[in-house]
Amino acid sequence: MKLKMLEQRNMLKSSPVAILVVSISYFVVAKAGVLLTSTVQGNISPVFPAAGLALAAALILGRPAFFGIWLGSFMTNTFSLFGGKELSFHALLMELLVPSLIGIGAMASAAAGAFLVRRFCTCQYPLNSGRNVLVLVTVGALGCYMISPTVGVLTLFLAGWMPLEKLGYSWLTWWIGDASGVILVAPLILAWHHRGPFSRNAWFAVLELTAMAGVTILLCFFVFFKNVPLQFVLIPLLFWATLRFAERGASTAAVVITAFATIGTIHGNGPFVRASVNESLLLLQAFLGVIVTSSLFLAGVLSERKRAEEKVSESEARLNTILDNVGAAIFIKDTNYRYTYANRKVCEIFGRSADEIQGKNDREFFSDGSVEEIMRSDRPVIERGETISREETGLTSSDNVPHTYWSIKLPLQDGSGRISGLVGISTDITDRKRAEEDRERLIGELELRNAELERFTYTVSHDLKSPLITMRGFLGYLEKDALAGNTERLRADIGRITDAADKMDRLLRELLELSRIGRAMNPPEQVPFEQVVREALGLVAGHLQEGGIRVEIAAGMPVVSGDHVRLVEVVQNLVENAAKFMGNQPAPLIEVGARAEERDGKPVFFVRDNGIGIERQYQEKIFGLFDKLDPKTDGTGIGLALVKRIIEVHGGTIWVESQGSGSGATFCFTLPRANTTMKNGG
Amino acid sequence: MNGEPLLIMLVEDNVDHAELVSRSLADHRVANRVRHLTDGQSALDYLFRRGAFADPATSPRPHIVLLDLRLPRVDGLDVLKAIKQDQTLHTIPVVVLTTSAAEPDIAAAYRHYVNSYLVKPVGFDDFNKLMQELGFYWLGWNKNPYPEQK
Repeated sequence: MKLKMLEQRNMLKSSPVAILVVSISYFVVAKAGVLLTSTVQGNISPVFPAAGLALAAALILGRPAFFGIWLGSFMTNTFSLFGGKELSFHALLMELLVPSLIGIGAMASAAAGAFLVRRFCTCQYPLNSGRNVLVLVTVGALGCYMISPTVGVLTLFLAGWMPLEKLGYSWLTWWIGDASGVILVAPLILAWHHRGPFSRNAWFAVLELTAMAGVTILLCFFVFFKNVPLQFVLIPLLFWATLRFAERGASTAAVVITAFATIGTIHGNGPFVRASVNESLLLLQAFLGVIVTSSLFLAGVLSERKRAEEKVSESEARLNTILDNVGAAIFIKDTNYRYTYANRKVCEIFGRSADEIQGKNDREFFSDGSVEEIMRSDRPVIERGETISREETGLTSSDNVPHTYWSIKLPLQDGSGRISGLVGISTDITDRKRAEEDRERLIGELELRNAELERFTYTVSHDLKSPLITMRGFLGYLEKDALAGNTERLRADIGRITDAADKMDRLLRELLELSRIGRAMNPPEQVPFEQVVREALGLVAGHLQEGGIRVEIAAGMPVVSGDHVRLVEVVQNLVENAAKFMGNQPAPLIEVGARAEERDGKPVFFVRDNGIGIERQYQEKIFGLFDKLDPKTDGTGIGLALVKRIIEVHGGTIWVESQGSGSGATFCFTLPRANTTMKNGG
Repeated sequence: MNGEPLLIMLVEDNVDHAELVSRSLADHRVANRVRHLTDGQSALDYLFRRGAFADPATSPRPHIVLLDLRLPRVDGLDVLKAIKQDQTLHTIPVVVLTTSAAEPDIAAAYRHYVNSYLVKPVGFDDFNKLMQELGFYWLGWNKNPYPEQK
């Protein structure tokens, strides 16, 4: 349907069709006007709707319409002049020349009108604003339609068909006829040609239109046929049409009224009847022109306002879409600290709807402490117009977790520059802050680990290099002594080399072991600690027997959770360590047990000996890698480091307690208690 | 050399290394006497004449201290600090002789006024050469203050 209409429009745009349609329409409308006013003496019609058709055609179609207008005008005037008489060649020439010139006048008016209206109107459609309606009426109708009567009247005079004394009155009749024709008809065509939406309820619109048509016809009947002097009622009637149906309503009603009024007036009825019909019609046209212009002006202003409103609501919708999806909480408060606007994010944070938030202040949503904090940043904005940007914490969101916001608050000013409120933009930076803290912590940990690793590397390289120096050094002496036949220290030196090689081997094995803790762990088991102790003691039984060391195991130790094999290693190392430092204790004793009190919610185990003890200043140092208190003892210095690492991997801690030299030492450590429910379940 | 018996104090926890140093020094006749101590604590006890080392006659001041850094109980660095902070001991040249070539160790030693920092070479010839030159330099060419025998 729409496509078909478009095709028709396009067809009209092609020149020959346009010329044909315009010329025939012009001819028909002009003839209708002339016929309507046939009683008028002379051949100049005071009602000339064809002028309006011409301007509308020129505005809509442009150049292709011009020749059509000329042709239409030419035909109209040629046929009206022909009287069926016999004509001389000269007379015939005049019969053709005069309408041609009149046609040129009509065409010139339409062309000039279309050009100037286009030029001075702010848009293609001249009925869409009050200003454009005024341009159409003054420039297009009243101004440019001075050309047509001037050309026409002069032509008639020069042709000798019009006496000089009739020139002025004829010109005036022609001008008013054309101009009112333009004012009445051009808007009708333009309004209906312009594609605008029919947004009204169709059913109601039909009803209203019927009522309006009825009232119009009745009123016109009484005013223009029954001489009831109610012509002023036409004005509100036109306004009604304008308000309800805009420029289409106004222009259509105007044409209907004009038709009735003209016929009535010609028949000598109505308030505009004067001495001559011509005079009456001129007065009527003037009246109609004025009231129609007024209503079209009103229609233009209304459509302007409607467009402005649409624009405002469109930009408001756009703004709301942005504000609701921007991610930050955005709100506006008035000078009484009451919310006047809250975007979707604010609603989410408060867990309320926008309507529930508007008109309320922060006391409705926050505790007194929070309100005080908010007011501290609101007050300087409202009272002194400062811009505040700062962090706000503790405001709980709908998820009931304290959030941190970065809030910017700016003063809002009214037209006179007074502060009318504040705009707040709060961005939730909880995640960012958490990420920052995590990063800081991780960097710290990493730095610590790096330093640890560096120390480890130095230590390892130092301790691995030592046996190498020994081996190379004594190999040198070995060679020298062998060559010199000096055998007295050969055996001892070979022993040193062998020991160094053995030590290196043990170092490497234990380092590998140490590095595997935490990486290669067995799955945690629930194991009674007493079982761990018994297994460990089994491994060192020979060693203990050799030293005549007695071991006491406390009963009722808790069940722990951890890597069974590693835990045995812990006890084994600690017992070996204790056995190694018994000194010259006559009754060496090692006790293994658990303390009554817990530490950090974990049971505390201990391995106590009555050996040489450890002085306070070395109690921390002994757990370091390769740190040995006594260089003469065998061992690599990895044992306690290994124990510490295993305990730490299990989430426990280890420390040593000793009153110093000769008072024995107690190694204490914590381990996670077995999950009893799990044990029962399993 | 002024005829006085030169005393080197060797603080070294590794007995094998100590043996290597002693042999090397003896082979090159750089020192008359080497006093070997195996840990930092006994080194300090000796220098400050505490306990078993109380008698100045049996524990004379060394002309030079060869100090390992990684020592049991009291660290080599702590020994160095103690020497350099003491009004009577700080003039004794201290040469660090260690396996560690770690920059933090070197920096820490110099920060505490070590006189020289040497890394034990791996290799018989290098080790001997270093010991020889160490002896020539510190006990031959270099003029040392005469240790106060208080």
